[in-house]
Formats: sequence, structure tokens, C-alpha cells
Amino acid sequence: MRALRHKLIWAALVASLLLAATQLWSLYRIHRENALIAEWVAWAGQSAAHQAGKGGDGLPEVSPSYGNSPQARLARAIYLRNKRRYAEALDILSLVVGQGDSRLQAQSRYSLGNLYLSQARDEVEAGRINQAMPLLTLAKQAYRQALTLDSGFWDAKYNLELAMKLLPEFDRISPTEPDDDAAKPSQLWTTVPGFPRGLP
Amino acid sequence: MSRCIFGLRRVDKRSASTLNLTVDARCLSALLLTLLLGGCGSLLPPAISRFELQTPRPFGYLIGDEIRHRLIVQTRNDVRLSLNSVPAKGELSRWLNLNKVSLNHDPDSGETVIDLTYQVFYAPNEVKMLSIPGFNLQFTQAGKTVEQAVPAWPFTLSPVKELAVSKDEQGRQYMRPDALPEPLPATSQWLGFYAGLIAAALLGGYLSVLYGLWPVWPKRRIFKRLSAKLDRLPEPQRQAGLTAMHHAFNALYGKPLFASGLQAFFQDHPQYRAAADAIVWFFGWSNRVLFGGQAIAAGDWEKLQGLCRLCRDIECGKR
Repeated sequence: MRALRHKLIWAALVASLLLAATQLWSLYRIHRENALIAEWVAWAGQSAAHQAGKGGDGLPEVSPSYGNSPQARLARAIYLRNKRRYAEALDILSLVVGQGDSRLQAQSRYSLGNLYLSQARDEVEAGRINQAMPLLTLAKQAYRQALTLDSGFWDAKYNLELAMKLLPEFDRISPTEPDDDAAKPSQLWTTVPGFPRGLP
Repeated sequence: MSRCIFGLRRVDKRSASTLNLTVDARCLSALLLTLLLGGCGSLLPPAISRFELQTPRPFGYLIGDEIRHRLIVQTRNDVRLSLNSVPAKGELSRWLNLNKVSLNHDPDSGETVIDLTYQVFYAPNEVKMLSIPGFNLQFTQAGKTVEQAVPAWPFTLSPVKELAVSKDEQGRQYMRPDALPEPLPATSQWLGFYAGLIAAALLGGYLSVLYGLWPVWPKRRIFKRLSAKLDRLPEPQRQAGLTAMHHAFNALYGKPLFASGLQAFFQDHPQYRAAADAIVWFFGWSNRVLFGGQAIAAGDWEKLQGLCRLCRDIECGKR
């Protein structure tokens, strides 16, 4: 009995040391991921500032190997979106969406909405309205999903309203009452398809 | 019963009275039965005795806001809510979603509570009145259907952003920036690390006491020191080793230990019963060597060292 107890004490000691060692390894990995997240967030801020100053030219060409956590991937996607590398950002976001807790899922869907909205704004600026419309629809869908997960997400509310102003939804909200908002064409979208561009 | 007197018919008052009484009793019974049945019917409570729609403030909502409604319906116990009449979760219209539906029924009190969480996705240009559509709740009672109308609920919705187009530094329409991800939480890992570390420290401390690493507990290191001493002893001084062994037993027992007192020793220190044979042998052998002049054979010396190691293991708790 004494021998068994002695062996159990040794086993418990080994288990405790293993627990401490694995947790220490996890802490190291978290620290490494957090450092990576902070780095990409800083780069995203720099590239945004650079865009503001130089009109999007001369962005720093850095492509570090990204971490595996959803937060790190989201940070990299934000960095890429700020660099207007939309396809790469979309690839990463598609990996992140649906991962993590509800807060992170709301954030990733909001970032997806921002990605589509940014692309749509670029298309509008280039005069390609037809390409912008499905992007705006996707942006609205992503913002709605973000708000379903977190109804107090103010930035998502703001950008969803912006997207809905850019591409209003035309059906009436009540069969008896005419929808005056829907009837009004958007101030920006004077050439939205659906309105006649001219008659012979 | 009646007799004709002067052409007139006279009715016997007594028999007429009895007849009237018989007729009156029948009418009264019928009347009472009718009243009783009617009374019983009016005593039964209605199928739905209470309906309440609890709603929040009907103004000040923004796009994406949730609106929670609670329906409380009090019914008789035999009345069952038709679940198909409760709105299903999902998209109700272009701008209105029903995100959550929870239904709680208390069969004892007959109270049904339905919680509905709506979410509005409408972008008004100005404060606008909208309405959450009404519906009918259906209940079944003995094959019959009873309905309770839930009225439409009007409310006002306000815009989040201004109507004028605001521009950012690049001259593009202003939009809110990305939500930056937060650093990964490490609380549980820190807790696990500290728990492992503290447990390891406690267990390690306990084992160090068992192994006699602390000089403050000399009784835990009797055979540890003796074992080291026996290993270092040169061959001519081996008798001193026997004396040291006796001193070790004396220190453990707290008083001089002789062969005659071994039973008492084993009662005090039952863990040393595992080495009883060897200890009895040692006391006999040492008597022969120390007082009988017997030489210390190499095999006996090794046996003594083995006894010392065995006692050391018992001291540590290994045996």
C-alpha cells in the first residue's frame, strides 16, 4: 500500500510537471500568435496611412507566413484588404468565417462585408456599376450575418446602412403602404440598372 | 271526483289541489335541471382566460436592433397550443427576421409563455414607422379549434448615418474601418501553468521530505546517512558499521533497541515488518561478531548493506 502510494505521488508529480510544461508551450504559442497579430495590425495601419498619403502606391511588400489561429488570419486578411489584395484577403477570410466564438465570427463576417464594400466602391469609382451590384449584395448579406451574431455591432450597422443606401431594396414593406424610401433612387446610383438609360 | 249539482260542475278542491301539486313538481324539476345545467356551463372557465402581449418601447430603434416580444396565454388544462400557429424562426420579410422562438408551457397552471426575438434590417432615410405583423395563435380543445389573435405591433425606426454623403481623407464615401482582432486570451493557460507548477512544487516538497533532503527532519534521513557511511567504510573498520547500524535503530526507536525488544519495535514501526527477517538476522549476527568474536565475512557485510538499503527504502516510503 505504501509502495503504491509512493508510486502515485511520483506519477502525480510527473503529471503536474507535464501539465505545467504543456501550458508553458501553449503560452509561448499564444505569445507568438499575439506578436504576429500585433505586427499585422500595425502593418495594416501603416498601409492605410500610406494609401492616404500616396494614393495607394508604394505599399510595403511584406508577406510573412501567417499564424494558424483565426485571429491571426483575420489580422492578415485586414492587412491584405488595406493593400487592396482582395482575392488573397477573401481566401483567408473564407477560412476564418465560422471559426472561433460568436464575437470573432461577427468580426470576420463584418470584415468580409467591408471587403465586398471596398471592392464595390472601387468598381463604382471605375464606372463598372454592374460589377458593383453583386458585391454590394454580398456585403449586405455579410453585415446582416454579423448583426445576427451581435446586434450591438455599431460599425456593422453603419456600414450595412451605407450599403443599403448605395443599393436600395426595391420591394414594398407593406402591401397597403407605398415605400417612399424604396421609390427614391439613390443619390450615388443614378445609373443603377433598372432605370431606363434612354429611349430611341 | 266531480259531481253535478244544479247543472254546474263542481270540482273537488282536495283532488284538484293534489293534481296541481303534481304538475308543479314536474315543472319545478325541469326548471331546476335546466338551471343546474346552465349553471354548470357558466361555471366552466373559458378556453383562453388570459392573453398578454408584453412589448418594449415602440420607438428609437436602429437597423440591426433586436426587438423582444413575450406572449403569455393562460388556458384551461385540456387546451393545447397548436405549434404550427407559432411563427417559425427565419426571415419573415425583406427587412424582418425572427431570430429566436422559445416556448414554455406549465401544464399545472396552464400558462404558456412564448418569447419571440425579431431583428430589423431596414435602412430608413428618416424616422419611419414600421410594423411587426400580427398572427393568430391556434389552440385545440377536444377536437375544436380556438384562436387568439396577436395584434400587429407598430414601432419607429431611425437612421444611423446622416443623409448627406460624408467623405473620408481619400474623397471616398466614408465607411467604418475593420474591427481589429483582439489578442488571443491566455487566462486558462496561465491558470493551468500555475496549477501544474504549484502541484509539482507541493508534491516535490513532500517527496523531498520523504527522501530526507531536509536536515531539519533528521529522523527521515537516518538510513540515508548510514547507507552513505557504510559505502565509505574501509574493510578494517567494518565493526564500526555494525555499531552505526545499532545506533540507527536506536535513533529510530527513540531508545536502545535489543533483540528482545524487536516485537515492540515492529508494533511501533509496522512498516519495518517488511524487513523483519533481515533485522532479526542482523541482531543475531552482530551479537556474534561484537561479543562472540566472529569475523565479518564479505557475504555478511553485503547482507548488512542490503538491509540498510531496505531500511532506507522503507524510510522513504518506497516499501
